[in-house]
Order: sequence, then C-alpha cells, then structure tokens
Amino acid sequence: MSKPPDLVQGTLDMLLLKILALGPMNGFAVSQRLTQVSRDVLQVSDGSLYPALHKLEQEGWITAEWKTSELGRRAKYYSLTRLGRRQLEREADNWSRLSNAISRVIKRKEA
Amino acid sequence: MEPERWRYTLPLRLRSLFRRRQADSDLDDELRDHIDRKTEDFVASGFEREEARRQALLELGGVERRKEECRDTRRVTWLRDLEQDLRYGLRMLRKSPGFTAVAVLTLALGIGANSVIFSVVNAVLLRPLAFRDSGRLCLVMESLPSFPELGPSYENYQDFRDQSKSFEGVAAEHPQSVTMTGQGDPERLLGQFVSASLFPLLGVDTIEGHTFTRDEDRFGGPAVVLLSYGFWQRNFGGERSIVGKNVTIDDRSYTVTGVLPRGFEVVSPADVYLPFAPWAHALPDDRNWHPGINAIGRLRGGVTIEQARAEMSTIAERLDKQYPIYDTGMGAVVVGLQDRLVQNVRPALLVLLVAVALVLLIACGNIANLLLARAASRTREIAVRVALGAGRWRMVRQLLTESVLLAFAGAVFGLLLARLALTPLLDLAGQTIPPVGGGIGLDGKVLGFTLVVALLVGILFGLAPALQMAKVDIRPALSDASRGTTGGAHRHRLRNILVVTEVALAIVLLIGAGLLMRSFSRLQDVQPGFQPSNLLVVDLPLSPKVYAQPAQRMGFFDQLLERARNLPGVTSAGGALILPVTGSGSAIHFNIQGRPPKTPHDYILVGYRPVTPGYLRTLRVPLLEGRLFNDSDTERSAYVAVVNEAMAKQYFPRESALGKHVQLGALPDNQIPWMEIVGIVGDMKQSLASEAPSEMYVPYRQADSLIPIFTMSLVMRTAKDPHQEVSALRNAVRSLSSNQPLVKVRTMEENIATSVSDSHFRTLLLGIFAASALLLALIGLYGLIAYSVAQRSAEIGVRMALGAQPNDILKMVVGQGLKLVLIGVAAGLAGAFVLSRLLTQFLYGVAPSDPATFAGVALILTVVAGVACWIPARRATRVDPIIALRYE
Repeated sequence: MSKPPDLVQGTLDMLLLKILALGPMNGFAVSQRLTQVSRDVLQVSDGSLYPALHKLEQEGWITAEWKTSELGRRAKYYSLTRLGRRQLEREADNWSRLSNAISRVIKRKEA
Repeated sequence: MEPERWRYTLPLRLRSLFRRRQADSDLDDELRDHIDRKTEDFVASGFEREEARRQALLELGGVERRKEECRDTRRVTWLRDLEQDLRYGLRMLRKSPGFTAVAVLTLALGIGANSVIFSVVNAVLLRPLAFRDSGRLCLVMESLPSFPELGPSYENYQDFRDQSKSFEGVAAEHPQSVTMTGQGDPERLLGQFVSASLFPLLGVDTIEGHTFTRDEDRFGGPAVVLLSYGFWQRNFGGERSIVGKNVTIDDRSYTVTGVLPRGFEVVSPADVYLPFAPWAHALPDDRNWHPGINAIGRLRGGVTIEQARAEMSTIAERLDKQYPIYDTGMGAVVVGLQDRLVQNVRPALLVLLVAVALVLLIACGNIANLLLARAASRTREIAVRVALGAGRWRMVRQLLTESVLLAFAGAVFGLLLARLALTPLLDLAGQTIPPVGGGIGLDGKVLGFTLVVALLVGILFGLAPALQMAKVDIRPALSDASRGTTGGAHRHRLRNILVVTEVALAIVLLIGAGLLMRSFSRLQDVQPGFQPSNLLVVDLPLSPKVYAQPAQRMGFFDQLLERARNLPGVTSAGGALILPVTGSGSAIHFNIQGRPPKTPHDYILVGYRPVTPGYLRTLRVPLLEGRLFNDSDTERSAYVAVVNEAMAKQYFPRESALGKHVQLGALPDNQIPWMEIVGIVGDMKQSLASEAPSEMYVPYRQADSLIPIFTMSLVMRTAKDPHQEVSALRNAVRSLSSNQPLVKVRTMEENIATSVSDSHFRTLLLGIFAASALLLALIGLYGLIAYSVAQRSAEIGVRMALGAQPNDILKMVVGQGLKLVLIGVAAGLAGAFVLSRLLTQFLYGVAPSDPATFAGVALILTVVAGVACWIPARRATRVDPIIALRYE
C-alpha cells in the first residue's frame, strides 16, 4: 500500500472523516473542501485522495452510494457511518491529547 | 460493535472478490467524474478545455496509478489483517516451543486417528462403487422359510431375469477357486463365473481385448478367460500380448480374451473370470439347488427399489405356485448392491468413527485447558494490546488464528501419522473391510475432511480461551498486583468443566472397549467341541479334469492320508470337506425313513459333513453313543452316518437316533441310498459365537458317490509344534503329484483365530482409542491439578504457616481433583449406559450394561485419576511457607 507522501496517514483519515461529517458529498467536493479547510497549508493531491477514501470505505467508516450527478452522470457520494463518527471522535481525542502534550513539551522547553 | 462494521465491509469485500469487473468499472466512473468536474472547474477559471483537462489529469497524477492504489486498499485491509494475525500467531507459537510441541502432538494423534478411520469410511461407505450409476445396482435374492436370504437357484435366476420388468437387465456371478498350472508352481486363484451380460450391465469394459460375447457365454462355447488387472500385472508383467494366448486353468486350456480395468471387482475379488453358462450347465436340474449365485440387476430408469421388490415378490409367488414341490414358501429379496456389501462392516466403522471423534474431543479439552492456563500468563500482553487500541474482536480473532494455526499444524502431522498407520491398520483389518474398488488411501476427500476437522477443532478449543482473554480487564491486568489472581472463579469453573467432560468421555470409551474385550475373551474361552491344539491343516483342491473318476480322487486322498499318517511327527490324520469354526457350511435337504416330510422344508441339515474315517478321531471329538467310521465304510458297503448331539436332539428328541435311517434330498427317493445312523458325537462349533447347528457326518467315499467331492481339508495331529511339520507335509503332497496346489497351510488354532478376526480387529482398535482417551484425560486432570497447585502456592503457604499438616494439604488437593473425577465418572457412566446399546450386536455373552465392566472401569479410572492428582498434591506439601509468602 502506498502512503500519501505529503501527509501523515492518520491525519488525512481524520480530515476526511471530519469533512464528511458535514454531510454526504462527492469525491470532487471532498477534494475542494480539503483544499479549503487546510488553507493550502497541507498539500493533499487529488491522487492521494481516492485511495484514502477507498480505504476508509473498506474500514467501514464511510459508506458510498451512486447517484446521478448534476452533470447527468453516475457519481459516487460518500457519507459518514456511525462507526466513522465514533472513529472521528476517538481520533480527535487522540489528536488533541497529542497536540496538548506536544505543546506542553514545547512550552516547557521555552520555560 | 463488530457486526455493525460487517454491515458495511462485508458487501464490499464480497464484491471485490466475486464482482471484480463491476468494482473496476465503478472505479473508472468515479475517477472520470472527478476529472470532468475538475476540468469544468479549470474551464471556469479561464483555461482552454484541452488545457483544463490536461491539468485535471496532472493533478490526479495518472489515472491508472490511482486505480491501482484504490484496488490495493480493497485487497489489503483484510489480507493484511490475516497476514498480521498469522505472523503474530506463528511468533507466539515459536516463543513457547514446549506448549506448541505438546499441543501439536496431541492434535496430530487426535486428528490423525480421525483421518485414518475416515479414509476407511470414505472408501467403504461413502464412495460409490466404481460402476456406471452404481446406485441403481441391486442384488436379487431368494428367500425361503428356513433361509431369509440366499442367492437364487439357477432356474429361479433365469426366471427372475426373464420375467422382471423393473430391471434393465439381470446378470449373474458365482465365485469359485480354480487352479492354474503351467506357469511354475501350480497356483490357486480366485475365479468367478460371470455372465456375458454382466460387463455391459455394470458399464465396465476391458482395457485390453474384449469382454465375453454372447457366443462365448454358452455351453460348448470356446474356453475363454478374462484377467483381472492385478493378476495380469502380477503374473504376466502387464504384457499386452497376453490377449489371444492360452493359459491352463483346472487342466483345461483357456484363451485370454481381455484384461479388466484396475480395481474392477464385483461382490468379491477375483483373479480370473470365466463364462457363466458352461458352469451353470453342470448344475443339477433342481430349483432347490442353491450353489451361491449372485444375481445383479440394474433398476430401469424411474423404477424405485420398492417397486422392484413388489414385482419380484409377485414373480416369486407365481413360481411358488408353478413349482409347488421345489419353491414352496419362496419369496424374493431386492437390496442395493453397495448396502449389501458394506452391511457387515458399517456398524463397526460407525462405532470406530464415534470413538475417534471422542478421542479428538478429549484432546481438544486438553488443549483448551492448556490455552486457559496460558491465558493467565498472557493477560498482560493482551491488556497492553487492548490498551494500545486493538479492538476486543480483533483480539479474539488474533487468538483464534493462533489456535487454528495450531490445529493445522496438528493436522499436517496427523496426516503424516495417518499415512504411516493406514497400511498396518488395513493389514490388521484383513477381510474385515470388504473389497472396495479404488482402494483405501488418503485421497482428496480425506484431505478435505482433515482440513475441515482441523478448522473446526481449532475454533472449538480456541474459542472459550479467546473469549475469556479478550474480556480481560485492562487496569488490574496492567498493574503489578495482579500476578497470580488472574482469571478468577469463572476461568476455574471453565477448566473444571473441561476436565469433567474429558473424564466422562474417557469413561464412555473405556466402557465400550471393556465390553468388547470381555466379549472377545468370552469368545476365546468358548470350547469348540474338539481339541484344537497341535493340528496342522491344509486345503487340497483337486483338478476336476485329472481326477474325473471317483476312484482317481478317492485313491489320491487315501494315499495322501496314508503318507501323512506315517510322517514322523504326526500321530493321526484325517480329512473333511468343511472344517469346524469356519463360519461356512453347506445346508442340504434330507428326510427320515418312515417320517415323510409334509413340506420340502421340514428337514434341513445345516451341516452336511463328508469326512474320512480318521477325521473325528484326529480332532478328538467325544463319541457319545455307537461308533465312529472305519476304513471299511466305503461306497461298496452299507451307507452309514454319524450325527452330532444337536441333530440327535432336534430330530429324535424322545428316542435314540442310533439305527434310524436318513436320506439326502427333500423327498423320499428310492434311487438314493438310505444311511443308517451308527454313532452320535459331541457338538463342534461352526462359529464360536453361536450354538452348534445340526450336523451329519458321512464317510468320504460314500459322500463322493452321492455328490462328487473334488477337495479336502487335510488335518494332521502332531506331537509337537505343528509348524515343524509343514515342509514334511509339502514333500508328501509333492511326492504324490507335483501339480497339486497346497492352499492355506495353517494350524487349527490360526484357523479359529481367523474366524474371530472381525471381533479382534474392532476390539483392538477400540481398545487403542480408549487407552488414548484415558491417557489424554489423565494428562488433562494432572495439568489442571498441577496448575491449580502452582496458582495456590501462596494460599497453601499460608495454610501451612497456620499449622496445616502436609497430610491436610494432600487431602485438600487430591480431594479437589477427585471431586471432579467423580462427577465425570458419574456423567460418563450415564452416557455409557445409553451409548453401549449401540454395541449390542458386537457383544457375546456380555450385556451392554454389564455391571462388572461398568464398575471395573469406574474403579480403575478413579484410582489412576487419584494418582494423577496425588503427584502434584505431593508437590504442594513441599511448599515452603516462607518462600511462598515472600512472593505475596
């Protein structure tokens, strides 16, 4: 399995879950939202997006359904599952704990 | 929590497994949709459409590459988990080689035993016979008031064949040994007379040459023979040019017309096949003459076996009316060919299958117990992994992977053991297992069975420990104080239940084996009615062509007996057509002078026994009344007979049988000589397990003048070990005729042992399984007690510090074990009481609920179980309170 070179795997997963927590959306919409949220700080290429989405789907955290898009074509819409929501909470917890710890370490160094 | 996840993931996985194409085209659509939108996006911000599309593709970074990555994620998650579990499992098993070795070995024995027995069950009971649509093949038999099932007479066979509409065809086969000469030493072969219709009926063709034609299967047709594959390979080195060549069988030259395929066998094995009609032509024209014909029919399409039965019964009734003298009370029996061939061995095989399954269950109990014990020491490892985020379900799966891995390792070694054990087992079984086309071996089905068993077994013994471990409470498990108190009451209860169950299962098996052993020893104690020690026996079949004249064959037998008697180590010799304790006989109708029968079946002599004058003396059968035969009882003197006690009581209950006259044949016939009963002898058993039937002995020469006799079993009483006389016997026969085969030279005791070989086989096998069960249960019990002593060493230390004597500790520990044992024994006795009924048909002189066996087994098991508890208990008394307490 290839890892997105530009972002820690776990972080990307969390970001995607977070975005999908807003509501069901199409892969393209996710990519746009991703760019917005990370305010171009985190470079996520379109290339690493789809494998990441598929992986989340395999984990059962997000689920997909096919709808007819506004362009009149089949389009795949992803949404968060209950498991995904729980996973998001867990990861968010972990994340804040970790970032707290890191910032504490940094502060102590400064002190 | 996990089932919910499956709701999403299972369909995805199934789809990527089975609907790969659909999944791929979905992926195409998804990526194309993305590119289209991105292109629109770029167009909106001012790019040329071409350029916009190029940019979109660029940002995606290569469609094919992304697709491959997406596919990877599909494959990876579950394979990755499995791979991880396997790797981790292997590491854990490697880390504790002692545990792994014990577990794998135990499982190998348990699984191997199952594979062996299953391979026999598979070949004998499950695999269809190697004929076209063999499920539609039936045996058609006659039934008579005195014989519920017997092969039809030749005339009745012809009428069955010609009048029935239920069958596509009915063919016939009759086994008979023949002698081949002209190829080195004369060789006795298994022969079969088969009708030309048999091969097309079975759907079997030769691999060389051709099967019999109609023209070859008639009286006066050419002398032709078909060879079995095995015989062809063995005697002619598989030489194709044998077809068309001649071989000498029973001193007649036969042309080989073909070779049958490997494994071909119908009803019984044979080396050579000869046409049926010439043999049948020589039979007496008598519907009551049952020479042992197997009539094989193939049910017509759409006809059920019940319909065929009904039709055949109607035909039998018609024949009954048509030939009132001969076929009185006749009926017809139709049974599936395979059912009939395996009917004797099926119950024994099923019992053995149950027995090995029980042994495997006990083995599982032991491994589960080992795993539970190990669970205590692995609690921390599991707790750490759970704390680090492993789901509990994931832990269960991990632990199950480990146990299934163990089971598969056990299966691999088990198959190796099975391979080693199969040949000796089949040798031991001998005739017990009926011949099956295709042979018995570890084929694909056995392999599949073994793998499925391993998987189930792995889950069976792994599930309880896995669930238990996954339930571990993280906090106490991770703190140091937890040592020695993990698991708690629940885990102990589970381990106790396992040991109780093991003991109960072992009791069931031991009682089964005990019952069979007692039966077998009863069987061995049966007095056969003569003195079987120091008797050497050989069968001497004469060539019907060379010894066509009665004077020739009787002269040969006389000369031979003369020489045998004069051998230095031989005290006396005699000959008989049929030996005692062989289980075989030839029933024949007779009638009594002055008491004509009301129906032809009034007088049936179960044992018609032509014997030479010295025979009864050589066997030392007690003479009760009258006299034995002398050399002066020949075809030229008055006809005489000696009857056994059973016959005297059955037909002459209130008078002496001496001086009465009897005659062969169902109805009085002045053409047949009357025989005067001149003596009454004690009963000889025809089968150890049953009462002696009515038997009548007739002097050989007189019997030969009534029904020609071409064979004799020679019996010599020797002064020392009969085996020492074998070469002298061979030389004596050679000196008379170099072409005379000696068949089955053996002692009488060996002959008797052969008659109980079925019983010996199942007794020995069940005994081995029961012993393994006992051993495994004891190991389980020992392990449990030893473990509990180790766990409780602190408590024991406290007790001793407070003044408990070693004896108290001993009592406490042994008592704890014996309590479990007694519960197990009680449960086992109850189970055995129910199950031992299945053995009824194998028992002789012992009831299925034989109190002595039940009590004896319970006692023995309790005593050895006590010892198994006592060893670790004694260790407990050596606990040094100071050391034990220091660890607290």
